[in-house]
Amino acid sequence: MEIIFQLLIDALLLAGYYALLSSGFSLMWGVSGIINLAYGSFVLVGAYLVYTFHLLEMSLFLAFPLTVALGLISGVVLQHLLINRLINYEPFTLLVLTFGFDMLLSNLLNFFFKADVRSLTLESLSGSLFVSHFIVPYNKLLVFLLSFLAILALQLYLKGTWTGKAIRAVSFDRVGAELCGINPGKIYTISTSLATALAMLSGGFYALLQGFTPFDSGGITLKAFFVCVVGGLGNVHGLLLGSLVLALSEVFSGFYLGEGWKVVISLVILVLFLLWKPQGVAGVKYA
Amino acid sequence: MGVIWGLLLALLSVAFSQDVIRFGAAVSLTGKFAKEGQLVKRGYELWKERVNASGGIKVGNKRYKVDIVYYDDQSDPLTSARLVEKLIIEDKINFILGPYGSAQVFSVAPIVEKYGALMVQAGGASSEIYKKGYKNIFGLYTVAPFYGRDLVELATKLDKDAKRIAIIYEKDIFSEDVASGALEHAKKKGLEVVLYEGYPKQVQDLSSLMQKIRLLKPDIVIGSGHFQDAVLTVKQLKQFGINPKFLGLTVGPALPAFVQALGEDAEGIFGPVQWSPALKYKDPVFGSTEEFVKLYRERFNSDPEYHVAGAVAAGVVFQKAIEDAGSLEVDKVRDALRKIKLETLFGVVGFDETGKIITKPMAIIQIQKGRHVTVYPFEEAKPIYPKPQWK
Repeated sequence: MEIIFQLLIDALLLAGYYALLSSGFSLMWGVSGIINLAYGSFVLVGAYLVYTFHLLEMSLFLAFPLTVALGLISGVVLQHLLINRLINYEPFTLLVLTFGFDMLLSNLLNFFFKADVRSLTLESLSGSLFVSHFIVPYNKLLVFLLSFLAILALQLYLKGTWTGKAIRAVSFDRVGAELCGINPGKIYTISTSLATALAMLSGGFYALLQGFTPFDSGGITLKAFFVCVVGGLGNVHGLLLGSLVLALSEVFSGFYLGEGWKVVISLVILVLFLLWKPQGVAGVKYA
Repeated sequence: MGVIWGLLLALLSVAFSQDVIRFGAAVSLTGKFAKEGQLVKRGYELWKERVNASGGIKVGNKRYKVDIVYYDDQSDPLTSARLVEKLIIEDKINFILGPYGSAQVFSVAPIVEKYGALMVQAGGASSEIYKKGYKNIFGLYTVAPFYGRDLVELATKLDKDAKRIAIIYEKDIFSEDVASGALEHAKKKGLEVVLYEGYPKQVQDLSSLMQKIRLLKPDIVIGSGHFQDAVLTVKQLKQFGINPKFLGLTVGPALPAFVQALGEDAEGIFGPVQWSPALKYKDPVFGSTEEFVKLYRERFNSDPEYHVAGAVAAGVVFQKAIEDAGSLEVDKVRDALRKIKLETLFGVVGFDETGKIITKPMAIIQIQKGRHVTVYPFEEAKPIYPKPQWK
């Protein structure tokens, strides 16, 4: 019985992180309708950036904000340099674009960092918190708390500021928003920029949680895709719900069936959702 | 002009009057395996020099000098096969000293077999080599299942009361092979196998597995995988506060990078190796492992790697088989190899009917104060047991 609670704790911690990991993907998909297949690569770019900064003996308190700032900038560049040129074509063109960009980024990372597994090990985070029989690794706990804060901040931004409201308005009804004087092009740029920053921030956390190689991006994008499909687009509840389903499925299948089954089980769930409830549990956008 | 011809003739007659046994080797001197290939070549050369200095190989009443023809396979298994074919057909050499690397051995073996030549190799540890029904291939590297077997053997030797064992492995041919060896031996020793579970290749998080191990509280943990997951296993065992009395990992601990990556957490971990300079075997050509290591240190200013020692032993084994057979015919030498039971500096050599070595255990090292020390089958230092708790 105890082990069930332990697994629930594990799943909850993981879900918190997955929510942040998927937030950028969800935002971009929800606002500009782009399924960004290069998303996982941006997460990895974040991971490698934080890793490199750490190697250069930069404090993590500086490395993370710097990574986020670089994320914001590269989002703007991505939007202006690539996405804007293709935004009026069919969605398929953008899929191909982001797919190609994903390969480009993976191979660039491979070129600079080689294919070895890297990890960011902090002596202070290598232990665990033991509460009676339960165990909570420090790194997971920290990442969970920070992810929670980041999502809270995102939520406040979207609900509380004028730009945030405009982002939600464009996501909800582009034409309506345009009629109210919102420039959707500008909003697209802001959302892509935010999305990339969120990806790179969660990449930094990824490095704290586990090892990574330049070719892990597919799996990461898939996780984000899963969360969006299962939870639905357009609100934070969906994000949390989707993440929880993914984390539960991974943790429980990993424990009871073996590590090798994690991906299989989550893919089966993904397919089932696509068949029966493609708008997601809490999705509002396409409902 | 006449003088030159005369000299040439004289030289030729000297060359022909000197009886020579020619061996052939296609090893990687350039490319990915260049380092290992050159070490193997160095081993063959050391053996050759030593034998020739002591008069050569004795066949019946005659003594033959050793000559080795080398080709560079450029670390490409297909090239190795082609070059070995050349050695056998064009150079008319029947005795092949093996290449380095399991893939190379795989690709060379059918050629040697096809032309009825004979190969002694110290370059491939995969047990698959011996499952093809080859008759003319003999290997000196202890095969993968023994990595696991000997770790379990040492664990049970150190502590009769350690009963609960967990075996985890990466899902690839080599690691599964190792794990199966550990499993089999654990059952034979009457241990309680509480966990036997694989994880996917290139895994970067073993949390679920660690939760299980934590729950099962094994005394012995054997991990079979490669460098990255060995490091990961140690990190996560520590993070989950799991303190087994015996922790043995296959590929990681023997590498210097392992201690660099883990620092103090590497202390007390066991790992199997093919050979270590601290072993104490006798050798018919070099006297003993100790003497060989001394000789090597004087000449190269470093400790010999197992690649060199294995290659030297391959030469020694070939030599003894030829001497036992008293003939240079492939069939007779092969029969002698089948029967051989010889202590060499590399370990005791004896083969089963597939050509696989079955008399040489793995040596096991332990990390003590950041250094590798050999603790099995010879004790360079007392093994530290149980493993110190994580700091």
